[in-house]
Amino acid sequence: MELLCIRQWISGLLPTVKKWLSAWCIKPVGGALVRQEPEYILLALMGSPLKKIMLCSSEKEIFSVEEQVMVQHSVIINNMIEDGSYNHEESKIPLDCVDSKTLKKVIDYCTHHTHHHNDNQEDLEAWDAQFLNVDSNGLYDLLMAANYLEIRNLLDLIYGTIKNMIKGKKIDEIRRIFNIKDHGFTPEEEEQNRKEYPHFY
Amino acid sequence: MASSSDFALSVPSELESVLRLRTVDYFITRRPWLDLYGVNVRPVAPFGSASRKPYVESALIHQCLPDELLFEVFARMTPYDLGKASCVCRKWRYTIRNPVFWRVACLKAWQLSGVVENYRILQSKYDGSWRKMWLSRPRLRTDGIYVSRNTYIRAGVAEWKITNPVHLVCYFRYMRFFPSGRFLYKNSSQKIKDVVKFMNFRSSKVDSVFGGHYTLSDDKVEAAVLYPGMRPTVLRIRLSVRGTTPGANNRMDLISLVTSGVNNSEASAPEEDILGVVEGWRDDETHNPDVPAVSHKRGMTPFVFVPFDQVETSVFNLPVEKMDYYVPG
Repeated sequence: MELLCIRQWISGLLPTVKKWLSAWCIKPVGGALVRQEPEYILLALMGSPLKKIMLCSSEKEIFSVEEQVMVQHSVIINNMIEDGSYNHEESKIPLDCVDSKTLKKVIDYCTHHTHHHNDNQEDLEAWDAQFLNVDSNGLYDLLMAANYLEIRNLLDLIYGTIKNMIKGKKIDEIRRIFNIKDHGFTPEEEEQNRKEYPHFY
Repeated sequence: MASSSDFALSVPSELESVLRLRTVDYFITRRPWLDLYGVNVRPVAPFGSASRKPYVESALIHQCLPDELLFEVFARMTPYDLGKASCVCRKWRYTIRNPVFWRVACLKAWQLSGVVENYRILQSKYDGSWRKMWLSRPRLRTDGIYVSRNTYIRAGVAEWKITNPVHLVCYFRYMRFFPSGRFLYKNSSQKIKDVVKFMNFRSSKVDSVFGGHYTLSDDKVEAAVLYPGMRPTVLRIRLSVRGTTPGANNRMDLISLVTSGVNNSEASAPEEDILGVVEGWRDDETHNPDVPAVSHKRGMTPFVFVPFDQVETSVFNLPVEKMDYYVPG
């Protein structure tokens, strides 16, 4: 086999390969991408980035996700994979606290943020706002899933959203938003609150 | 005529024997309390107590979210919003009573005193309750701007039919405080919604926003700001903080406002030292003969606090004709 021909062919592929690699946000492993020889780049291509892991929801549905994506976002999954207890061929990570619908959303979030982390801030924020356009039930499920999986940026995002539902609103509006029908105060207590803090009402 | 069939109660045994003895029908005296013997009456909880009704939880957030996550939501809110949230419902009130929130807020608001001193004051004055400290101890709010609206009348130029015109002039003193010990001062006739975007440290000289330093002891504020330039002048402001409701801290009364001159060496001292420079000066003291010490007597209306989220809608934005002349309580 003419090594020279292969070399030429691979170097022809180089620009495309480089574009693919940067799109997948692959961090150079060791010296693989520092050395620009075509053989090394091809080796990096064939290596770990496309490795997938299996997540199992509470409804026993299996989701296959790129390992990079989940490891970057979820501390729990990162720890599980790092300490080697996860066998890529056979194991699935059981997530009994998270149902399929929520897990799908979480995976969606992590995948988008891994692939688009080079986008500008406004686009990401717009996508996040669209992502959280769910009903309250879905929002709290997402929060609990993010808490269980320890996904810092999703947690901060959801806490921020709930905080904004409270900030700047009057008490009656807050009660309506959160559907708090019974505030649990006696009529005297409620009246005293209204007298003491009229700017809240 | 009452007959035995009208009575719901069964005739107690001791009376029955009596009944049998007599031939005349006696009316059975009603003793309704006999009905209650042997009946269990459940105690009714007082109105409003948590055990009164079977607790049907309608709010989704309480059904779904464990308490730790609710805590995390509150941990990210400002103390003002926390106070508001504790009026929403009982569960939130009890969650917010947790001293952690108030400790964080207190240590940040009174950071100038230092952590050790704050703990000492906590024990001696406020019974170890951070929440009490937050509500009772005077502090300078940093989530908005203190505004003092002053008006005066100036004679105008007579023209045509208007023979004795007067103009009502309105100007504002704006003060914005920071927890680090610095503050910003602006004196202008511009409305608050136009001024608020310049009340930060990035403003240039053109915006005429001046920065100075202040100290707070109890409810007394001592602040000093240097006007740089050819004849450097120092403005010394003494204020006392109070509130319309406990913990509001939304009013400041002007005790004294003195402008005096500083000499060149004092003017070129680093900005943080301005308070040290003017410490202990008498009211009529000036270190620059070109700039006499003037203790101002006019334009001393008390300051009213306007939080940032109310700046756009505040009554201070109204033009002079539409303003109510009011004395801030």
